[in-house]
Amino acid sequence: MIKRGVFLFLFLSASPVFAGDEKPPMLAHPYVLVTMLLMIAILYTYLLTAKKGKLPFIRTLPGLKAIDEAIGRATELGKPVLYLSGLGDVDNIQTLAALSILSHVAKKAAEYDTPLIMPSMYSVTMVTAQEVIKEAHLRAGRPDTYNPDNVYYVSDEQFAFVAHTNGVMERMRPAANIYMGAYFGESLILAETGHATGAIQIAGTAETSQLPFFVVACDYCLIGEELYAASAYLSQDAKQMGSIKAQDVVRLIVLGFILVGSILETVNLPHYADFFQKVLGGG
Amino acid sequence: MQRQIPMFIVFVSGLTMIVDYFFPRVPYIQGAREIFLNWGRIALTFAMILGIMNLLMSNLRKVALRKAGWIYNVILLGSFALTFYFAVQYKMVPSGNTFITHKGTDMGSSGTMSFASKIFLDVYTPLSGTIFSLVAFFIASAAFRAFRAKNIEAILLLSSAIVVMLGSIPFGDSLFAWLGLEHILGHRNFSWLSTQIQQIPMSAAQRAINFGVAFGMVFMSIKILTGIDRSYFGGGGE
Repeated sequence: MIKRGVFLFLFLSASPVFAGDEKPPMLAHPYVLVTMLLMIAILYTYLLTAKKGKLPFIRTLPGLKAIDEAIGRATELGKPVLYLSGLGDVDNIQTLAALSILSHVAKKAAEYDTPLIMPSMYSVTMVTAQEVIKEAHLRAGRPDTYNPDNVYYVSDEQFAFVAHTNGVMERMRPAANIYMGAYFGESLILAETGHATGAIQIAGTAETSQLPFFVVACDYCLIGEELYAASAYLSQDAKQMGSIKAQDVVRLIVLGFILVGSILETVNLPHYADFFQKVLGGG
Repeated sequence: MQRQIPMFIVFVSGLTMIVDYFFPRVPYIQGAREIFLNWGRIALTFAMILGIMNLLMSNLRKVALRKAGWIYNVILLGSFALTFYFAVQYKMVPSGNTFITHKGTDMGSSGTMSFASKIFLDVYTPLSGTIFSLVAFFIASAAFRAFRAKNIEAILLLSSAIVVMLGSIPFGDSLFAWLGLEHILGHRNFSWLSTQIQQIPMSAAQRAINFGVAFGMVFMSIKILTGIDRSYFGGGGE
């Protein structure tokens, strides 16, 4: 019975979709599925290696090293730290990465007894951030210093949020501004205002169009994927560090494909590129 | 338990979406997907109420305690009350940059725009545009700092920026002709050079970053789905 079921499943998976057939195929996007399974296999190989105690080397990220320095500076000056998780809601993976970094920043700020201010553009992000910061205070052994009023909702409107945040920078003069997550047209307005107030600024985004603005206006910048690697780097957790290594291995494999493709295209052998075009086009 | 239940919901809902994407014919999968999406919508609606409550409470507290700048909190509360009143009175719902009535138009019987839309279009939109216009000045100040030729990288940045700027305006090509460079370089004027810089080294660098971002995104998603990364819940990664 099971064998018949498996056979039927494989048969249906391999069956082409006929024209006029409105039913979706049994297996959609087979190449994507194979790639994803391959990635998961590589990830778990490196997770197991890391769990056995063989921690992979991850290069130093200056932007993350500077976070402690920035919080220390704020403590010395007796000023707060401003943290923004970007203009994405919690359904944006960059916001989740920003919340992961927030966990570390909030713990450090709690240890140094430095106020952490976080205006939020979305109410779900606000509620999640409140939980993250509360938990960080608990882990730092300072639950009494947690102030929920420092994490608050402002507005869903982009420039209303920016106007408020700029106002906070001008009035409260935070000693450190940390911008992590998804940013759009407002990135330079925030970073330049922060620069004008003399704050040490650390940014991190995967929005390539906004990266130049942050690179110019901030002291440190996490570029693209570094935002996603930050959580592993900060936690020094074996499993998370293993995942970074797995990511590098996948990148090397893809780099190999690109190199082979470039050489074959140069010598006018287009079948290889056509195959990938088909795979990517048809999913 | 407080963390296990959300983790379980994340895993099951994520798995449902994946199964629906790859195996759309699995029985009940589309129904399950709809259920999770509806849960998300309901949670978002209640979170909005939480956000509004938080906004009102924190501003009211600042006014009650007469904290520095409390007058701005009064203005915010007043604007909130006014917009809310007119939107509710005329049964308005936000739609893009305006409000529409439940009948689908924001025009009254006399053909005039509703007051709720007027608040948005005549007050908020110009204010929003004013804030955005600051970008022009900030680009100038940021560029001034970035283009200081203090090392080789800065000099390269400055030279390419000058070429791109000259290539983007008609004056650049007129200057090229006036300098007599077309006799030496032919059609390779500033616009051509600017296009080359943007299409070759710039897009190569951008694609490299985008590749990294894509891998980072995939692995971050897998880590979240499998519970390897829980720091966004406040677990600190451990």
